[in-house]
Amino acid sequence: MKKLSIQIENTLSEVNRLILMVEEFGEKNYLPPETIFDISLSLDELVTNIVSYGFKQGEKSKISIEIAITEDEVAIELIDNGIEFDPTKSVDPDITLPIEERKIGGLGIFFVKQKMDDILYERKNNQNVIKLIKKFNKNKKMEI
Amino acid sequence: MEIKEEKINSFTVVSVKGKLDASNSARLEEKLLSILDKNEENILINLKELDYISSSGLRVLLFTAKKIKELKGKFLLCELAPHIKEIFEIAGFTAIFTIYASKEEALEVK
Repeated sequence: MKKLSIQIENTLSEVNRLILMVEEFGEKNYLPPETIFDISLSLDELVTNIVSYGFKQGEKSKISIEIAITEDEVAIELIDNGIEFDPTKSVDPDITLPIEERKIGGLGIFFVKQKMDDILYERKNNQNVIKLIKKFNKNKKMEI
Repeated sequence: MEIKEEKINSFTVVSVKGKLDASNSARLEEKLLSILDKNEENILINLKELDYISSSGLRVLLFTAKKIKELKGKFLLCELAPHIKEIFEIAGFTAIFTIYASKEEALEVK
């Protein structure tokens, strides 16, 4: 099992740093490009959300991310000290509405739900703990 | 992310290169609003060199599309890579946006 542990501060530039590290880690471990894209996007959406809405303005905090790659899946654990937020309970946007009625926002968590095979949430010790599972097929041909 | 702007026929073509995410989507929004401020109401977004887009990027596109609809202008997209197009599909954006395979095709729209 290959593992990557990262701790970042709650800023958007730190989210960029995180995504670059995740991409590099995925490439180094020969994850299919579409799997790297899916986990980068999901982490980006979740951590951007935490950074943007999880804390009071100016409040400094750390977010921990652990990624483990096994034979056929990527398991991710995300821990933050922000306000309680359960992404599995967020309401999906209505994607069938015409352009005038489409709401700006709400798509990020929806992407995570679409892209990941499993999302688990737990509030533990005043922290949000999110677990993601993404399965992949190492022998699959590249599509991109 | 790099943004390039050029005027072709009745369209302002905006090409976005690299990664479009929460850290830079405001920059694209400013650029698009500045074009609308000049009374240019037909915008073609070329995503040929876009590698990555998150919901923050989609938000800017939806916001701009709504504005252009009010102004009765045209808002078109072209040259989306397959993995980018998939994101648009999940978001339901392929149903509300007009997307062309090539820039040339899009520019023929009257």
